[in-house]
Amino acid sequence: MTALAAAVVSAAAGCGGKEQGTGPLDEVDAIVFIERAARMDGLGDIFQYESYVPGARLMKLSPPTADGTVTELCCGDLPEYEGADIIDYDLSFDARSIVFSARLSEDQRYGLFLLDLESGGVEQLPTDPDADFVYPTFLPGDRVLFATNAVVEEGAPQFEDEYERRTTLQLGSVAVDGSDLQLYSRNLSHRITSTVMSTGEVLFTQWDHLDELNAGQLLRMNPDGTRVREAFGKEGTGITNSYYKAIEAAPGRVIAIGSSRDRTFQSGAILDIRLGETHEVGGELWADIEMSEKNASTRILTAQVPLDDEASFESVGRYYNAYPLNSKDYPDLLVSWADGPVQSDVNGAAGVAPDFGLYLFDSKNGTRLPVYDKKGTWEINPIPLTPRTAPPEISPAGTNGVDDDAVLIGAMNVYSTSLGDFEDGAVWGVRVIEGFSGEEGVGDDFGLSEAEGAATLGVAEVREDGSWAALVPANVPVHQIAVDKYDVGLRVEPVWITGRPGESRFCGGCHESRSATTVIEPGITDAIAIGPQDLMSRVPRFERVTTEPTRPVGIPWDTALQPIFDNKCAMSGCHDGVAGAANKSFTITDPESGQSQEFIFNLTGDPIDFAFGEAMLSGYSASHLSLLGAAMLELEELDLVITGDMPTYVLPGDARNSLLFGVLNPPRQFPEPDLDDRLFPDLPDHSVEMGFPLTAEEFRLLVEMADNGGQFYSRENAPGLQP
Amino acid sequence: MNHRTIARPIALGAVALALALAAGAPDAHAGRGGSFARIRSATQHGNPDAIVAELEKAENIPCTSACMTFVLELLDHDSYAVRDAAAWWFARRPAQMVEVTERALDRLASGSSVEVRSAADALARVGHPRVVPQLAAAIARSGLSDEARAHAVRALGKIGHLSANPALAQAMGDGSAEVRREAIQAWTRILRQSGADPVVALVTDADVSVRRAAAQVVGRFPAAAARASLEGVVVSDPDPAVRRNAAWALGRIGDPASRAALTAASEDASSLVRMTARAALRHLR
Repeated sequence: MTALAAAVVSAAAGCGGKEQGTGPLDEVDAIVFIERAARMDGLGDIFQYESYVPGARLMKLSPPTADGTVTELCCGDLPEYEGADIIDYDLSFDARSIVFSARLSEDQRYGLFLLDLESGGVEQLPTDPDADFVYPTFLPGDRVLFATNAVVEEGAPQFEDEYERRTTLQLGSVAVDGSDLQLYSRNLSHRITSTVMSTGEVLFTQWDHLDELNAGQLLRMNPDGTRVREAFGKEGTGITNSYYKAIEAAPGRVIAIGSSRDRTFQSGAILDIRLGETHEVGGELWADIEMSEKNASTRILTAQVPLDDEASFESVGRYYNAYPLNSKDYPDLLVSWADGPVQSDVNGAAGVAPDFGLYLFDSKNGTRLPVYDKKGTWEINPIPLTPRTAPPEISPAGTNGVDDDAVLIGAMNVYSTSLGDFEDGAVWGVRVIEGFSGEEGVGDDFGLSEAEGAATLGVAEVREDGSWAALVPANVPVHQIAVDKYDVGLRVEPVWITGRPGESRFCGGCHESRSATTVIEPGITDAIAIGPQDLMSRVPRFERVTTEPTRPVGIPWDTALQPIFDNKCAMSGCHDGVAGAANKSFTITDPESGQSQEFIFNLTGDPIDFAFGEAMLSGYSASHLSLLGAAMLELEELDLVITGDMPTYVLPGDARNSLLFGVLNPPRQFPEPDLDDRLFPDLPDHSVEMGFPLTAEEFRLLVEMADNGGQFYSRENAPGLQP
Repeated sequence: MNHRTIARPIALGAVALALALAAGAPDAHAGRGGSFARIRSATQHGNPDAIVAELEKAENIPCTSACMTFVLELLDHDSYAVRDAAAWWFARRPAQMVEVTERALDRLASGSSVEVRSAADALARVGHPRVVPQLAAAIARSGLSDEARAHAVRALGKIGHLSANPALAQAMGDGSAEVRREAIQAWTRILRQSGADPVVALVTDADVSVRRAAAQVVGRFPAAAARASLEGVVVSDPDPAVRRNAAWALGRIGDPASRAALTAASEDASSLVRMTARAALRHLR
């Protein structure tokens, strides 16, 4: 240890003996941490988990001071573990064992291992060697929670994240004796880094991608993977893109890392997140009153650390972990921190990886005292080696009582909503849409919109008391759109929900108030009394496709919609891409060069290869580009000027406000189609005026295409699924 | 405790300041806020994660020919992650995707090993199942490096179409362990794949990484035809990871005939094997 270090250390409270005064680590005999090889890449975004550089060890520092003794807990002396990289670990409640996730060689995956701290013995937990198992967390009841890319649904591909293209992580658990491994229901993208709270619930980070939404939020669930619900990050509570590595500081209060999704080496600012209303308990600050998104708040404990993906600064740096040592208003934290920019672009330019080391952080004064930092390696995930009280075990929720294999979804009163009122009787039903990503043979893009894959499982009718209920396949992410009798969306619920077999995911209303109770008449709802509608709950994944024209599931643009355009719209003299009264246009002009090019409304299926000057644009087919419009192309990036009178006809996710349907005027669909009853009573139907009237089935395809996201591809035309 | 020297942090700081002044503060949300300038800047600075991040943020921007040429060159980057992200970027642009595909197919047929490798990585993202025959032909092309052929195999897996099965089965008999291992892993990525018969023979392959992969894949499907080989491997293979994977596979197959072998494995000297063997015993019928 250098003289400078000794001087710093001697100034730290608690160094060299307890007689020097009190400090937050005084009652801690030792800390455990991971010593991991430093790296420049492989941690590009917070969801990357496959990074492998051999040479990681589990270490102990005792006492937890700079002059403490560092000993290796695992596993350099075992030949099978020589090449191990360790991504994460957790300490058991009795502090007698550690579960860690390690990858033993380049050609193996991350698996789970149990280390007995008394004997030093290690055993690998029995998990699928063809899948990764990471981010372990001890649960009460001798279980371990983990994140994995193993798939709960036999034969189905695991979801691939739409942007970073990796196989997504989902949650599951296993008993510490290796028995009873369970995989939980799936989100459409990643679920990572969990912590168990004093209530016994689990808090974890979920990547939400639904149309324009892209963020890593905190969610809560029961330890058996049921009752997943929002905790923090939505409903206007968020302050940055992603929240992860949360650790409970007090009931309802967690310390987490907040950052952009990428470029920060999975590190960021330290946030004190309160999940509910705060109150003081014996000098501690709790936040467990009325826990909901509406009441959640946050305090930034490291105000100078950038919350976006820009480089940080000297003496500011970024934090990899933060472990709360107490529950004061401004808690003391054991942190892993690196100085400097800690940003992949800047560090890459300098050719220097960040250097994470261990520090004691005083969040009130913003000061850091060094504890341990070994040059050339990362010291991360520090945890005091002390026992803690195990939270209570939460018993598994009862099944839905209707079907042990399916998920029961619905609402007690769809008219109970926090998002503005529905007109009485306006909601005819709720369209339930399954989500999937490119792993189902589509490739990497579903079309010009941001939407992912969609398959309409069906429309569940809203009953007289406002309730609705349906059975949907388990473990499948779905989202919901309240629709009127014209099958046009009234409101989109922009979240994916998913449930385990037999689970009930019954809401109070349609995005009901997060802080009030939904009140209904005594007794069971009409929807349950009548019985939930079965929305393909037993239909295997790859058979969830359109088989009847009156019941569209996926809507492939080229085979379901293009024939409509060809037969009724794009004939010569109509919407055929020829300039004229029938076809509006837009012109793109480059002010610098003066060059311009015109695109004319065109509902043919011709491929688009649209170039002007040096810029090239792609729009799938002419009809797809014509309806979704130039707005999808982010032309502003090139400082181009768009003029002309061609509007955007289809707003993905919003048929009601899409101009197309102001022109075509959809007819009633429910309970039976009626071409004489139109969404807009005073407007004509352009297709009737032109003498090529659309059928009710054709209208339904167009409306659902728009509401479901405007995709070009679906399962029905996915290239990878064609014979 | 060690302290780092002062010189490097100052250098980093200077670079950071310069980049901050040049780049501005982008939106942190995925898929937005990108530009050709930022892609170029990240490429010049060299960190693959940064290049990938900028490509992801620029997914929808239209591109001048200079921009297109630049990103095309990233299809040949040293980093696989960058090549993959660049190909994904083109996959979001149908017209350019056609051009990239045609270029890649030309390279598969007559390019150097490095060109074939890069072409395969591009096709893994932009390729349609109809390019499966050309990828299969590249795997069989003589004179190519093992790496190039392995990447062609990988591309078949990523495209994921059942028509690739014959080529993958053939690749499992390749002289290169790298190619054989890649073929086993690609097999699992084929959509609606059923069975793993071509993989069974590789449970006793001469190469340890091939045996590891084969054992885990025959357990995934699970392939009853592999049982006898697995029962031998689980107690006798010199590699503990192979023994562990074999134990897992036997549990998935679930045949009670495996009880003796798994019981012996439950007392294996290696900590990788024991709990997996005990769990497998619980799964026997």
